[in-house]
Amino acid sequence: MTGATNSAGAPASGASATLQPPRVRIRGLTKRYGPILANDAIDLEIKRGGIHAIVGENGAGKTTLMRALYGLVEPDAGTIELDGRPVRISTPAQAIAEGIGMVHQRFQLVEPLSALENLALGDLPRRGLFFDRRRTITRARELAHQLGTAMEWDRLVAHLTVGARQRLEIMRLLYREADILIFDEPTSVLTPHEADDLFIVLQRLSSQGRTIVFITHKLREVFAIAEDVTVMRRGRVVASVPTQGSDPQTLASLIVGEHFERPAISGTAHRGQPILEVSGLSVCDDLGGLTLQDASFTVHAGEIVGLAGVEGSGQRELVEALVGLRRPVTGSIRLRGRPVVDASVWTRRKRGVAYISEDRDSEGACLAASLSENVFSIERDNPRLAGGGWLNLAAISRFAQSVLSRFDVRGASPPSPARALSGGNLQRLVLGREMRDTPTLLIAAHPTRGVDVRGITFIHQQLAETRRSGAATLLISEELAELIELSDRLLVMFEGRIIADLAAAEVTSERVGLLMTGAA
Amino acid sequence: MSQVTAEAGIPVAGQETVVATQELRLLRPFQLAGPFLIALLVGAIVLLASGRDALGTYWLLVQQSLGGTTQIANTLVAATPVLLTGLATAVAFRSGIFNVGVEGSLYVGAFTAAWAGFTLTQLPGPLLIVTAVALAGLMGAVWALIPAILRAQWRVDEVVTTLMLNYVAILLTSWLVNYFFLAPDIANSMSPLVAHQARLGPLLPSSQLTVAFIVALLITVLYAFLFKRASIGYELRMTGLNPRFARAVGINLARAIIVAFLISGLLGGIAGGFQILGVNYRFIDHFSPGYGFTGIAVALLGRGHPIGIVLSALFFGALSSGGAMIQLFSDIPLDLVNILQGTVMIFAVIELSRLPFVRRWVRRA
Repeated sequence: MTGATNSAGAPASGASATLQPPRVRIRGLTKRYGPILANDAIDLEIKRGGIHAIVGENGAGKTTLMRALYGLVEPDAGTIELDGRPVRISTPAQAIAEGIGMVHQRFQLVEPLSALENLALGDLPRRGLFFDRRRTITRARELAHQLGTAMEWDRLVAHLTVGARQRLEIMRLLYREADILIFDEPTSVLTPHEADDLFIVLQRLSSQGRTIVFITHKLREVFAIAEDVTVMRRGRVVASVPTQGSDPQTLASLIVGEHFERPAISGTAHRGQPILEVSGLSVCDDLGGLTLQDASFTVHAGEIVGLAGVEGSGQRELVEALVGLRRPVTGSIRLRGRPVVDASVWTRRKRGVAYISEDRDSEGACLAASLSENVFSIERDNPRLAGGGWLNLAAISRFAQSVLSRFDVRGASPPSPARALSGGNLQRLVLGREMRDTPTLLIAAHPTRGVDVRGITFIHQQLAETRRSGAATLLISEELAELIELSDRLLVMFEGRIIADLAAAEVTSERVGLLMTGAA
Repeated sequence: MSQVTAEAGIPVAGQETVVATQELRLLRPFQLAGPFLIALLVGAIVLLASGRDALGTYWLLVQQSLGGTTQIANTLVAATPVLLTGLATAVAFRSGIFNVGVEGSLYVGAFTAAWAGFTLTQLPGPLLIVTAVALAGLMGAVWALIPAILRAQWRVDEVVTTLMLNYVAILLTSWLVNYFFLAPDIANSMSPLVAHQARLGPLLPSSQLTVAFIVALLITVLYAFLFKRASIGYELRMTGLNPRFARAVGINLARAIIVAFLISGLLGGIAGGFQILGVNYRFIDHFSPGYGFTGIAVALLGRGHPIGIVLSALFFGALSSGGAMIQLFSDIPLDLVNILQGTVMIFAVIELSRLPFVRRWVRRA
């Protein structure tokens, strides 16, 4: 912290009863990581009781700014004031003491403990030496009531749905009496339905006078619930405006820093041979429950078939069975007419199956390995890159570089570890690896999850391009708009079954929404 | 290139801490030397507390392990088995397998080499040596195949199986030597001596330094090549770094697990074989002072890096050869050397670079 602290002229508490200082005021906040200026003299005001959205591309500095407010990042310069009172927050504990709480993208819950135990963790009510369960459960019920939701307090967190975990995280902040709640991309892990529930919770919290700050990539959400929006680009605030009087097109241009128009997805399907034929496929999940029942469908060359459904309807198990990661109980899978149920992942890949995992950080890529190694992973039999049991390191590095340039992966070179890449760039890397050589069948699970506007456009274009070159694509997504825009046909799943197979012309979001929730 | 990585390389609560790369480069020497320095410090405190001259003792230790040709040769002799078991352990660790059963492979290999040495006596020297070492490696690998199959086929936790199989191996060889292969006219539990032509000759006169040390160094080079340049090494490494990723890109995990165990067991068996042909000349019941377990420390301290493994094997070799000697020249008990070893092992596993004061210190530098 530099000497800026006392230059604020500290408004005396009684002096401005009419002009109330903002709940949070950040001035000149700067954070540098080596050569990278993550936050460059940020000024930001957040008013009490409002819902404030922060938008920007991956790497714009949103998360760094929020982490500075929560005490996870020590800024190089700048001040933070709460209600006009300068504070110094250098640890999360201090942030919590000041009433600031944060819900991270990856939840900070202890899975083998119950919801109740997680709630009280870090501030255990005690009776003598023991955990005072009765007092805690009373408090827990109060909090759930405040939030207007229910919670199974004795369930282990490991067995809670993602939405319930998130509500638990929120209650944990309220339990510790947080008044400013920061959310880092809260909807990126939620189904559309869960996201709607979250918005209701957020509005409720805001009406109770709490201040909400949330980071998002989705402009739709900004206009749905936020009152103010701050746009960040390359470590700077480029706009901070009320949402009323702004519009998505303007914000999108501010985010990418140029006039930005979403290119239309071009081309119609030239439906060819059947590529993937699934019939009577049933699959169990890890606990032995039959999660996918009797699925039958066909994907043809040159078409994109979308798969819609509330998360946990059996999509994941279907994808794993198609890729070869999970053995089906019954049913057949044919690729170009040849059965592949017993084939290994590698055999299927060599017959042209490409796979974009929904779990980019732990299955789609190896964060600890270099970019070269990530790209090479499915080219192990490429005679130019490896032969006679030995790797040709120079060739692998050149090969990786060509993929990086073709798919515009920025921020790192072939020898750097994959964890150096931001989410969007990492997804480009995965895409580059899987789609470099036009696949026969592309299985794309949530390919745009957690990716910024520009990245999403790029991914959509690549999917359209792949279709044009004759690949069969199965696209799984929680974004209905995305599915409707890209798919030639749409399958809808509900409770482990495929309950509808709609042609593009028949699809409306209302109809699909009803089918997904079992209401139609 | 500057705008994109801003959100990477940031410490995140509850997640693996990521330090910016130039900080890492500064930290590396400290990370490697730190455990030794701290261990020496703790040892010094113990020495001072028991009223002894710490610096003098350390000087004696250095003299007795490095202070002359004989001393250096003894250090290298002591480093040989732990270098091999260290490599054996590191192969498994880097493949994501916590094989703590190298000691078992070492016993099985040692017994096999001894058996070959006193049974196939009609073979000429070099051929007998090569056969004995090859059989030792083979049997070490076969021994490791048991936990390998259990793990690959039925996901049985390898820490439990390998740890327990150590005792099985130690007691099995004990039974074999006591009931079937006891040397005549000797009260102790020893096998007959191996044939003269099976014994490794000294590289230096009046020392036990043999070609085994050179072979161990060559195996270190092979180890480096395996993980840097070999296709199977790539598969092993990916399996170790992220098994879910490895599976999704089509690496056969069961095969990777079995290969890693086989190489690990092979090296453990060779370590045992060389110990018999180069040092003991016969199998002795319970002969190993824990070479397999010291190998775990060597692998961890060397961070799986070939040069790191050689250096830490030399360090443990020096401690054990110097420690054995200072008992003769002072009243310092061997236990002190064990305390030093233990302290180094503890601090080897701690990631010093994560300590906040170390970070602050680096940032200032």
